Amino acid sequence: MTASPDQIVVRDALKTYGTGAAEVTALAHVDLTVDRGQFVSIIGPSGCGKSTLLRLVAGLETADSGDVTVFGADPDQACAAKMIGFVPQVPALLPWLSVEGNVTLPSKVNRRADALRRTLPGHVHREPADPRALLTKIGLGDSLARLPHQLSGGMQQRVAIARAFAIQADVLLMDEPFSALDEFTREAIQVQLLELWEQMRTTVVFVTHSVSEAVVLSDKVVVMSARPGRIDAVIDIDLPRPRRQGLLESAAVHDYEDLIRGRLQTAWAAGPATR
Amino acid sequence: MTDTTDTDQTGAAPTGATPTGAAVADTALATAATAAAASVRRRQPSRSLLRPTIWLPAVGALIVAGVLWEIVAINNTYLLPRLGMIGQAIVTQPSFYLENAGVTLSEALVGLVIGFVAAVLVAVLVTESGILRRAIMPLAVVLNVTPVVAIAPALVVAFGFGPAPKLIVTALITFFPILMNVITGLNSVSPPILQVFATLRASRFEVLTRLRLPSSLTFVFAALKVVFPLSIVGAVVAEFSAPGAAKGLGTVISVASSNSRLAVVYAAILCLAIMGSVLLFLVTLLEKRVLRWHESQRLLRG
Repeated sequence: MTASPDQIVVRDALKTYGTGAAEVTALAHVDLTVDRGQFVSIIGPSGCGKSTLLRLVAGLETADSGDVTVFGADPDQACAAKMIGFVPQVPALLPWLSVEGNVTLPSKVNRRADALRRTLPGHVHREPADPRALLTKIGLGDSLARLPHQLSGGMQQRVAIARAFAIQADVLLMDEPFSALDEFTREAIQVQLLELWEQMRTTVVFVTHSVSEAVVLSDKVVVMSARPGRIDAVIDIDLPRPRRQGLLESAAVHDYEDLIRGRLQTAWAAGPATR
Repeated sequence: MTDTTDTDQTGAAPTGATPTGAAVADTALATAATAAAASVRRRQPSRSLLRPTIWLPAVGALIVAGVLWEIVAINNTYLLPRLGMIGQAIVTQPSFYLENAGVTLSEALVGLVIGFVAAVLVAVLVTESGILRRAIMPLAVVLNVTPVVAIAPALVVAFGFGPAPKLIVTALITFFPILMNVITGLNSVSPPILQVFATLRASRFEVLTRLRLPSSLTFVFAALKVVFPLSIVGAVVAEFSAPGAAKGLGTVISVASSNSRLAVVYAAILCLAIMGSVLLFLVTLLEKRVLRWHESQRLLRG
């Protein structure tokens, strides 16, 4: 197979958990392609394998069969070269480090990554990000010295996003990062994430269970269904960028939301209710 | 008590509200709230110590205990010395008690340091390697269930009346609580944090020094609070087992009790109690400084 240097490619990925009667097929022969610079959301009911898919790309798990390549490198190399920025569901900040300390820590570990990155085929040179500028952009410029427990949940999650951007990763993998936030906070952070993404032009794979969040953020929405976990539809979101608050109330957005909801419902109805 | 609960609530309300993140769109609001909470926290401790509701119960209980002691002591002069006699024993020769307390304290502390360093090293080895864990942990458990008091005489036979058996007993008695706590602490890093640093391919050494060891600090301090008083127990037990030893409060107690000098016995015990309390106080103070970031400290302060 030819690994594309400008795409994340998941080909025929199979992943099962457990054995015998308890075996669950988390991913049944899944194919997915993400172009460089795209914002792709993965949406689906719980248990559809969307987090598993993300973790395969992140190199946190390996597929039973099939291939995963991240801009031409396998996930293991990609991690070793710090090409992947991971944002988990909870902020996962170190409580003893300040906001700035948390954001700069990734650049202090695995220092050989930069040299390795230059040797990889999909390498695109980027200037190292200035953590202070990054934090200022995301609205935390006056909180550099504060500790995580002094921040609200939304502010903590913004620190986690800044931390992922700070290593100038080629792809950010976000696993339902806003699911624990209330609606106002969520919408505010979505706008900030979009602004940052438009400036940094990173590739983002974003797992969510919110239809409107998927439409507002993405170039492409991947709809998955459960048991076995599979991709049901891939929907291109053809809305102009930059997307600002005003646009989000437009009829086009609602059309896309309805389309995705319809897909989710048929996927849910088609799949066996019990395994 | 009503006053304290009031300040507790004003302190807790803003901190409790901020994690919900309602105020994120308005960062300034959140900032103001946490700042207010912080200032309430900062003012509280100095004020609360002066409040009679805080210190009166402790002082009252102390006075009651003292009165009961005196009643028993007056009626049983040969079993319990009166408080005045204990005080007199200390006041007449303070340097005697200071010197012996110094010996016991240094045995306890040096033994504790040895036990601490060994326990942290073993904890790191055991959490990093499954083979070492299976090799070392059974031994450590056996060592823990063996009463150190029983080992002490054997150690005196082996190492003589010098400081060696005392240091070994103290190190042994402090080793296991530290070991178990540090192991728990090293494993207490939350999985999402480990995942973030796994995708960065942080080396095992980096994960150990930057994530695991700092995470274990809360557990280290919990262990230290148990182990500081224990180290004095270890030193005294070892001194009991080496009756020929020249110095130390344990020796003072065993010599004086065989001569029925009860006031001296209790004066030495009082010294031990004071020593233990001061050590515990110092550990708690250090913990407050080091673990400013930790939730348990926030709850205490807020």
